[in-house]
Amino acid sequence: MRCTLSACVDADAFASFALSCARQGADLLLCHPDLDHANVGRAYAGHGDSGAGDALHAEAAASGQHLDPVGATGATGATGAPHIHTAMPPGWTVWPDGAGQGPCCLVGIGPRQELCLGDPASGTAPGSAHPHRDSSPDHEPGPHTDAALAAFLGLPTPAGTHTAAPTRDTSPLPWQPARADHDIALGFLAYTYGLPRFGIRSAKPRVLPHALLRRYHAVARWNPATGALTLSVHPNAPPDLAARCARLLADVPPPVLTTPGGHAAFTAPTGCAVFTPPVGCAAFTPLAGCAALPPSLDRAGYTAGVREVLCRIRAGDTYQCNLSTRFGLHAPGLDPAALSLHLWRTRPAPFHGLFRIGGRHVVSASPERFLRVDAPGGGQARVLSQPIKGTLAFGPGTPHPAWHPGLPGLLAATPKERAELSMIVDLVRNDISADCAHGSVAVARHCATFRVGGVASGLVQMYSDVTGTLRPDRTCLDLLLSAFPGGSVTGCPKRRTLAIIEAGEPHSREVYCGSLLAIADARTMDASIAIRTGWHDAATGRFEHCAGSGIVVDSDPESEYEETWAKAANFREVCA
Amino acid sequence: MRILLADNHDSFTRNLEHLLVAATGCVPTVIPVDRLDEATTGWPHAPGEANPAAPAPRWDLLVISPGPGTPEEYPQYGPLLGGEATRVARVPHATSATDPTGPTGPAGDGAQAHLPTDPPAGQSAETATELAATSPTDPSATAPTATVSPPCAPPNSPHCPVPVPVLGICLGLQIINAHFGGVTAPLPGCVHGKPDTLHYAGQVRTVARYHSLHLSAMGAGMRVLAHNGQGVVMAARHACLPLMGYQFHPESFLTPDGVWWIRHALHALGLR
Repeated sequence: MRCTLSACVDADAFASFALSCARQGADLLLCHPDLDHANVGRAYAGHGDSGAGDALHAEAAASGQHLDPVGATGATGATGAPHIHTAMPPGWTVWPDGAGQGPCCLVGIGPRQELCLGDPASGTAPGSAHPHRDSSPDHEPGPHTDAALAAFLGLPTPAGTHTAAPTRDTSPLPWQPARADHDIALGFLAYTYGLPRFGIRSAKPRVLPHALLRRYHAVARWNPATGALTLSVHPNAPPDLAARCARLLADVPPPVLTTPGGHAAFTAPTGCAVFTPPVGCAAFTPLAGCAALPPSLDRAGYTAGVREVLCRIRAGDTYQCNLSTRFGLHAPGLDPAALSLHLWRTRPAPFHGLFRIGGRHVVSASPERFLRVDAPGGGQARVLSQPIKGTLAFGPGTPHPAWHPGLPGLLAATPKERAELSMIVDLVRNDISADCAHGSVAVARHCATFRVGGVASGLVQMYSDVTGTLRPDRTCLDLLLSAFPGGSVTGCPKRRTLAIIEAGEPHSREVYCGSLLAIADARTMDASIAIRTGWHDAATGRFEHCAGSGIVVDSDPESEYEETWAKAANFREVCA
Repeated sequence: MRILLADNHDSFTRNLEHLLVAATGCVPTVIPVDRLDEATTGWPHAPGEANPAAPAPRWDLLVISPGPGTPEEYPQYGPLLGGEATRVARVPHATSATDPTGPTGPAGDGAQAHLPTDPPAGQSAETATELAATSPTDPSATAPTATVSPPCAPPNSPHCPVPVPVLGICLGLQIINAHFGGVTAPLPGCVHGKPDTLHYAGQVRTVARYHSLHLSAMGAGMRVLAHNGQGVVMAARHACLPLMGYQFHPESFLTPDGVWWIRHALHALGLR
C-alpha cells in the first residue's frame, strides 16, 4: 500500500523543498514554475528582474496575438500563413494512470532500482556498485542495451528499426498502466547512446554514462496549477526514508499567498518575488575564483567548422548540421543542486532537470520537448514532438537593440529561419513515423514563436507541433529509440550528418543533445532535448556545458558563432 | 500493390512510406540500400536474357528514396534500371561543370554523344528513334509538359527490360538519370526546406525542395516533365521505360498534394 502525503505550497517553497532533497541526492525534473508563462499577456513576474522586464512584457502583451492552441491546429506549413506567438511548451507532463493533467515537477528520492549503462567511472569505483547496477565497464550501446532498458522498464524488447533485431509480433501489446508516482522511472539517454546505431564508434573521452534510469522509494510531485505538493512512497521503502520525507514535507513553509481559486500564487504580494530560501538553505551565489577553461572550439575553430559543414552541404551530404562547442569552467566548489534551483528560479524553462551519478551531476535548463506520449483514458497513445529551430537575438549589440512587438513576426517571415525549422519538422515526422500509425502523423502550429524564458535571454525562437498516434504494437521506448537522438540538435539526413558532427567536434557531447526522461509505462513518457545542459564532476572540479547552432546553406559562420555564444549565456553568466 | 521502398539511409524515408500508404492503401516493404540484394534476388540482371528458372519479381513497384551524396555512391541500383545493355559511360562528375541555368547546357551534348548504339533487346526501331528525338538538346523535350507517353511495354512483361517500374525521389531521380548517362551537378545556391511552385497538369502546384545537386544534363532517353521557374528539372521520366522521378519531395509536409503526385506517377508508370 502506498503512502501519499500532501501539502499546498508556492514555487519558492517548493524550490527550497527541492533544494533540500537534491542536496541529499534526489533527482529533479522541473517544469516551468509559472503557469501563467503560457499567457503572453502576463508578465513573468520578475524573477529577480527589475521593473524594466515587466515593461517589456507589457509591450509584448500589447502585440501578442495569443491564440487558443486548439484552434490553431491544422495548418500544414503554408509559408504565407500568419504565425502564432505563444509561450514555450509547458514542460514535463507525466501522469500515471491519467490521474491528472498539466505540467509538474518531480523529485525522485532514494533510488530503489537503477540501470546505469556505459559509465566510464564504473571501472574505477567497483565498491560503489549498486545492487541493481550493471557494472560492466564497456557498455557500447546496441540491441543488448536497448533490451536492458526495456527490461528495466518492464517493456517488450524494442523492435529495432535500425538494427538486425528480429521483428516483433505486431499484435497490440497488453498495457499495464503505472498506478503511482513512485512507479515513474526518471533518467537520461546521453547523446552518445544514439551513435552506434548509426554506425559511429566514438572513442572520445567521456565523463558521463550512456544511459541512466532510476526508480525511487519516493517521488514528490509539485503541481504549479494547484500548488499541491504530494509525496508517493513505495510500500517497500525503508521506514526511516519515509519518515524523513514526511519531515521534509512538514518543513515546507505554507504558501505566501493563496488566490480565491485556491491556487498558490506565484508571486509575492509586491509582485516582485525573489528566491529567499528558509534558513539553512543558502541560495546559490556566483562562485568566486572560478577559472574559465579554453572551449573545445574557439571562435576561429568554430567558424572553420561551420565553413567545412557548408562545403558538405553544397556537396549534397547534409541539409542541416548542428555544430556545437564545449565550454569549461574550473569550479571545484560548485553546488550543482543550488545551481539547478537558481537557474530554475532566475531563468525558468519548461524542461529543467538535475541528476546525480556518484560525484557527478547533470544540470539541465532545457526549453525543448523531444517526445511526449500519453494515453488519456487508456485509449490510443498520442505522440507529440515540439522541435525548436530558428533564432532571433535582440538586445544591445544586435540589429534589434530592444524588444519590439514585431520581432516574432520578423523571425517567422525569415526564409532561412523558416527553412531551418521546416527541415527539422520533416525529419521529426520521419523519426516518429516508424512507430506511428500510417496516416496519423500531422503538423500543427508550424513556426509558432515564443520568447525564451527569462527576460535576460534576449532570444525569440520558433517551434512546431508534430503529432501522431503510437501504433498499438509499439511502446514509448520503441519510439524514443527510433527517433533518438533528436533531429533538431543533429541535422538531416541524420545518419551522414551524425558522422559529420562526430568528425567535426573535438569533444564528446556527453548528455548534451541527448534526452532527460520520465517514463511511467508503455504509453506514458515525456522526454526533453538536453540542450542548455551542463555537467559537473566533483573529482576534477570541472563544470562543462555545450552550445551549438544549426548550420544551413545560407549560414554565416560569424553569426552562428554569436548564436552559440548567446545560448551558452545561462551557465556562463551564472557560474563565471 | 507490392511496393519495395529502398532506403538510402535518408531521414525522409518513413515520410515516403506513410505517403505511399495514403496514396495506394498498401504498406511498402522498407529495405536499407545495403541490403537491397536480399529483396531483389532473382531479378533479371540483363534484359533479354530471360531466365525461365528465375522467379517472377516479388514487387510491382520499386521506390528509390532520397538520400545524401551523389548517384555514383549508389551502384546497387544499376541492375534494376535496365541492365548493362542500356548503360552508357557516365560523364565524370568533375568535368560536368555546367550551365547552372538549366538542363540544356553544353553538357547535354555530351550526354547525347553517349547514346547507346546497341538498343536493348525488346525495343523496336521506333523506340530507338524516340530515344534520339527526346535527347535533351531537343527543345520540345525540355519544355515543361505533363503529357506522359505510355510505356513501350507493359511492366513486368517478358519484353520489358526493366524488371519492375521505378519511382525515384530526389536522389532517386538523379540515380535513374545518371544510369542513362545524365549528369548531376551542384545547384548554385542549394535549396533546402523551401517550397517552390510548378506549373504541372494544368495547375500551379506547391512542392517542397531539398537538394544541393540537380540534373544538369539529361540521360539518354530521359524526358523532362517539369521545370521550375529557374529552369531546374523538377520531374522527369524515361521515354519508353517505366522509370520516373521527382526532384522535389512529395512526402514533405510542405507539399500539400503529395498523394496526387504519387498517384500521378503510378498512372504514368502504367500501374493505375
